[in-house]
Amino acid sequence: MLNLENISKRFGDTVALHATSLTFKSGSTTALLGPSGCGKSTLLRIIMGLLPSDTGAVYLDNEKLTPENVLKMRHRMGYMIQDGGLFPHLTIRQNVCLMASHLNWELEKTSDRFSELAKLTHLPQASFDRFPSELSGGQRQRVSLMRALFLDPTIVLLDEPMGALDPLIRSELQHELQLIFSSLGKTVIVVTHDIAEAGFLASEIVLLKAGAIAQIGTLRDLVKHPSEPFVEDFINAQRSPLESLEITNPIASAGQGRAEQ
Amino acid sequence: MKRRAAGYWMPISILLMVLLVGFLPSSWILNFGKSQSSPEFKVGSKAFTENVILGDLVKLIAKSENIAVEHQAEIQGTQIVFQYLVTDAIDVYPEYIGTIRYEILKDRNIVTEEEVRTAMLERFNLVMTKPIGFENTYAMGMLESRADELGITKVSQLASRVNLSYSLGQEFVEREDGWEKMSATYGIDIPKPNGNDHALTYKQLESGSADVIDIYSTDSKIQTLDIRVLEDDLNFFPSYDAVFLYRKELEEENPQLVKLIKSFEGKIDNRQMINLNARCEVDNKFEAEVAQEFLSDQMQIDVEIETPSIVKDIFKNTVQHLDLVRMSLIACIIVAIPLGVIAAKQKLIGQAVLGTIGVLQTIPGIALLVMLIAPTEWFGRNLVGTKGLGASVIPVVIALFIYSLLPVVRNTYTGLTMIPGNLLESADALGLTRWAKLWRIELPLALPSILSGIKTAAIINVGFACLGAMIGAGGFGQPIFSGVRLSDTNLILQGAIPAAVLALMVQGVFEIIERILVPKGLKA
Repeated sequence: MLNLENISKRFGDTVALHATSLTFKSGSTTALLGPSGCGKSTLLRIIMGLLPSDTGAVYLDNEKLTPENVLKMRHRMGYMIQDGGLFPHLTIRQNVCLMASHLNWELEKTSDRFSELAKLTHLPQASFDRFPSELSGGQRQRVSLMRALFLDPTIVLLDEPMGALDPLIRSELQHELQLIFSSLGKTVIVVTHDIAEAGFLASEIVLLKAGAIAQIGTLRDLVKHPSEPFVEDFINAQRSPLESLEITNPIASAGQGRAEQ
Repeated sequence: MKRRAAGYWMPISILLMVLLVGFLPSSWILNFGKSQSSPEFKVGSKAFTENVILGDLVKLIAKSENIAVEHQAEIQGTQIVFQYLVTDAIDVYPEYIGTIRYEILKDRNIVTEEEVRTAMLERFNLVMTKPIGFENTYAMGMLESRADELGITKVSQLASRVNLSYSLGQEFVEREDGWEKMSATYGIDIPKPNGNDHALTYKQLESGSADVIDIYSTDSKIQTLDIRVLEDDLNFFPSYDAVFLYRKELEEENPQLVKLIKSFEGKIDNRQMINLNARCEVDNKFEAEVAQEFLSDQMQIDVEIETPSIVKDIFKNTVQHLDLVRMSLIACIIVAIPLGVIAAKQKLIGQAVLGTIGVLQTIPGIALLVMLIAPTEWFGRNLVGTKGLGASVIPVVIALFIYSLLPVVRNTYTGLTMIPGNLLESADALGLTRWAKLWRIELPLALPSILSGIKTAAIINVGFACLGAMIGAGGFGQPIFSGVRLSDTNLILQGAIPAAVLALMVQGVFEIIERILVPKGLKA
């Protein structure tokens, strides 16, 4: 279980995050949703201890995150970012197993863990000894996930994990992530600005607006019972392209009509 | 025992060991286990033929009495060779009374030979011998035939001949006690001539396009071009009698050597010295051969000398040159990479470090060398217990080290600060310690930049190491400087070609090292 108590953050005169308290239950998948600059990535960085908060504290399984224990605590958190953040000078295997050699694991244990994760993420064997630049974007994200899961963390944090992928790969990976997370039973936090992705992956959505929580709930709650006009606007702005073609875009409809003649 | 991945202390310590062993001078490595028999005494000489011959004379006469004396020849400039003597890095060298007065004592109240001798003993604890017998001063010279034709024998006669054409050396035109003062003293009222390269002035005299030139009074050209040295009838030119300067302590350390040095007092007159210079510069004899002949003909002392061979010389120069480059480069790597890391991590210190290194870069080579001699000698004596460190390769190595810092520090700094933020964040998010992050992520990512900095430093050092010859540390600069001095193109090429080849080889070697060390993932 992950608890945030009264977390806030300013950058100079700008408030990035107003005092926020949140609880993420063990085994749950939560999406931090919101437009750019709403504070969702800031929140994620504070949870990882990559950014100190101005007030409040982070508790992982009731243990407070402090500058002294932050390195050990990060071993219990897996982190995956937009373009993977893979180290270009290391092979795929070295990227995934980096922490094993840092923590002086036995080679056999390391190799077993790697195979296990490769199976889980369906990473083809041919890519194991390649370098990140030789892989496709989708494969790089699989590797990034393997690296995040390597130390078997209690929580997994994903910052726009699909942000740089094309729609087909994106959808394929979303399905796989959902499967993997449900099979592993880990606490998962996904940062995204895509409401469909949030709804697909997460059971609970935290919608942020200008550094404060606008609404917490399921996708259905957000759509059916928006707490304020902002929630409604945010949802409408991301209406599916097909839907907008049929309902709201007369120009597109007219064009279609002409094509049929 | 279960197998584990290697930690990073192992590679670091191996790397440091290799670097430290690589730092040792090759003479130490080659002589490992053998007892060192470095000569106890050292004679120095400045970088012109006459001075080198005098140095060889001391070395050879000592050899005839079985005293081992090393000759550190062709040191560029009075300041350096004098610095060597006062720091005891050398024991004796030939000097000129005028030079001592004007460049060392710089005291208008000290005029006579005896006053100079007393001042040197009192101020520097150095002994000045009696004059060797010849004088190497500035003088005015004309072709014998032309002088005859015009009936000129004295400088004062030049004043009434305003239509004579002059060609003067750069130095003579610029010196405080040069042309301007002389023409005023003698009342030669013509516009100040431009300074020429000294070699050119002889050519112009020979071809008849110049009537009068400035010469050195023991120049071999006096003999070969048949030049009349005009009498300095108003005694304008100061006395430049040649003497030996030696450390006072030498009288106790080896009285016999002092006796041998003094045996040259009054032994060589101007005509003889001109002849000795001509043997080298015209007949292309080595200074040592000429010195050997002189000892045998004039003093009935026979000594064996090593016959020089080009192959041996090139080999020796290569070893010395590589020593200079290798030692300075390794010291640079050990110091500059950590400095670059600190600079990249601490912005304020970083600016200070980069600024300081930038300033060091602007110190002229020769000035830096002069500044380094005394501290190096002091260090050698007081902390290592060896003598002569100041006159060894060490000051050159330190100078090269200082010059090579900039590219390596800067490239390390740039390499580290250019790493994309998302990679640094990924490294932090994994929970790597600061050291592990530096060693496993940051340094490897900065490696291509660091290596190219080291490559630049190495290539610059190959060129700069030629400076080593300025203070007698050998290397490819030695034949280059000698060649320029003797206008011997072959000799210049003997240094210039291997230096160029070496620069290319260093470039090649570093490209191979880059290919091996830079991970494939960073090459795309």
